[in-house]
Amino acid sequence: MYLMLQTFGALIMRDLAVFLPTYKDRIINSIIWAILTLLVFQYIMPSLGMSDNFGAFMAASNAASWGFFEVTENVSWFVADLEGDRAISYYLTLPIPQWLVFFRIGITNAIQALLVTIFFIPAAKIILGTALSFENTSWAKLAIIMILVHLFYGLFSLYLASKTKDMRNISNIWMRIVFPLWFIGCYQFPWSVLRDMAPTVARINLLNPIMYCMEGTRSALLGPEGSISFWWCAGALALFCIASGYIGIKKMKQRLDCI
Amino acid sequence: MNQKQSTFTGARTFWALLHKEILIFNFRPVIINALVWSTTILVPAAVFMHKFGLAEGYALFLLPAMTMSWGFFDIMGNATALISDITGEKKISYELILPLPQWAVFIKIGLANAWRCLAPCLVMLLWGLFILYITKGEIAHNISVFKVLVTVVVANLFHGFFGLLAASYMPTVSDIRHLWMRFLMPMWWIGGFQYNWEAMHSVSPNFARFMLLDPLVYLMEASRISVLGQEGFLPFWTCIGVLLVTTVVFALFSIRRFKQRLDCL
Repeated sequence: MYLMLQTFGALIMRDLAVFLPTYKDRIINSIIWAILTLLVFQYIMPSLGMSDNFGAFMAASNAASWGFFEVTENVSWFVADLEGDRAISYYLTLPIPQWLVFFRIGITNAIQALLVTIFFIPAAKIILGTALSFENTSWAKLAIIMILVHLFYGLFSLYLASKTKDMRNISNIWMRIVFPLWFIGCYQFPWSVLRDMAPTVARINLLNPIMYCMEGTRSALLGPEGSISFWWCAGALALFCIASGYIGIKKMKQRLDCI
Repeated sequence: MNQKQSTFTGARTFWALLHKEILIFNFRPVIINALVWSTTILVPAAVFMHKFGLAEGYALFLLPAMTMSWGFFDIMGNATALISDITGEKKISYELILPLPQWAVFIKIGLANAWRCLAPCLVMLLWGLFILYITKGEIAHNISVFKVLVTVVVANLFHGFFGLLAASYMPTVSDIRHLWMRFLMPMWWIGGFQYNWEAMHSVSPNFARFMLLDPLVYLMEASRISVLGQEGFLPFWTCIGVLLVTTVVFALFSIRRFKQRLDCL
């Protein structure tokens, strides 16, 4: 048991050691995206009639979104490894259960995505100034939801990787799964607006885990008004973590012909 | 072989290479992706965004820019494919020894890139108009079919050669992420995907003047004029002219860079 945990810990540390040299570039890329999105929604879109406080709304959406893109990129590297060097085969021979090798990929993806995203809120505050108020922010809830959101993204990446047949299939996964889940997942509008406009679609959207990521983050950062209950979002995300981790690991084991 | 025969052989080889690219490209998955993408963007814009103060016709305003942007996203795929070939199997070396000028091989790549974006672009526009009609009953009364066709062709030629230029600045495939996040995405996002140049000008005239250096601004403006009419946008033929000049400049730059990189004659 001790050897197993030690190996698991060593693998996580190894992944982080590989990740750290790319950390600066990842932060620069993500902050460029976050800043440009906020500049457009806060300062240009109001000239087309958009409400003035939309920047703060988008700041929360961005913080809940970036991890999804980050893990999707990691899926590409994972599939490239499966098609090429198959370094994973070595990890599968280590003295740990094989499911733990896949679980570690999910955990590493989650940690990496979280480490990049933590700069989003300070960057948003600098860009938005007084338009982003922390008056209603619950920092404890924000920490809980950020961990759950990124844990879900990390474990969901296992499912995405298992569904991606080869590198040519990456754009199909992006266009047909990642993008619709994200964009329909209340990135630009709250679930309550969807419920008012199309109740049936809103009920179907309750099956979309990204919606809970967005609503939970907005509830923690901007206050509970107009969002789904924070604890509902946290609970739903915890369930989606378990489901996506279980299904993702099972499918990866099938794909790699594990014992 | 005299000059005339050599030109004829070169032209035939060029057409054979281009024809091969046209034949091997499978449109079906790309069109499915394009339809999913356009539906996902348009439906919230048509149904929800007016709740946040945007005009009822905002989705129709978004449609042309969204349609013409499709090829811009293909730049990543095209550039990655070219660089992975150059750093891997080097199939391009075979094409460079064929009986046609070496610059023509790069022109062929740019044109093939443009071809791959053309059909999805037209299908998306028709699909988008259909979605807006069934969800909002909106009709693009000021659409000019001639201007739409001109814009689609010019925009995709621009994307095709921009993809070639982007590839020429990528030492390895993994550089695509930096290229996308630091140059391409900002050019697209602040280049008027969600708003026109006039709105930009009303918020910050200096910023708007600076953005005239971004060719994507002209692409977005031309696409909107072709569907919504001229009012409120930069002059159509100026936009088309700027895009054509930019395309030629990108083609010349990328050919020069690739000839240096691949040690061509």
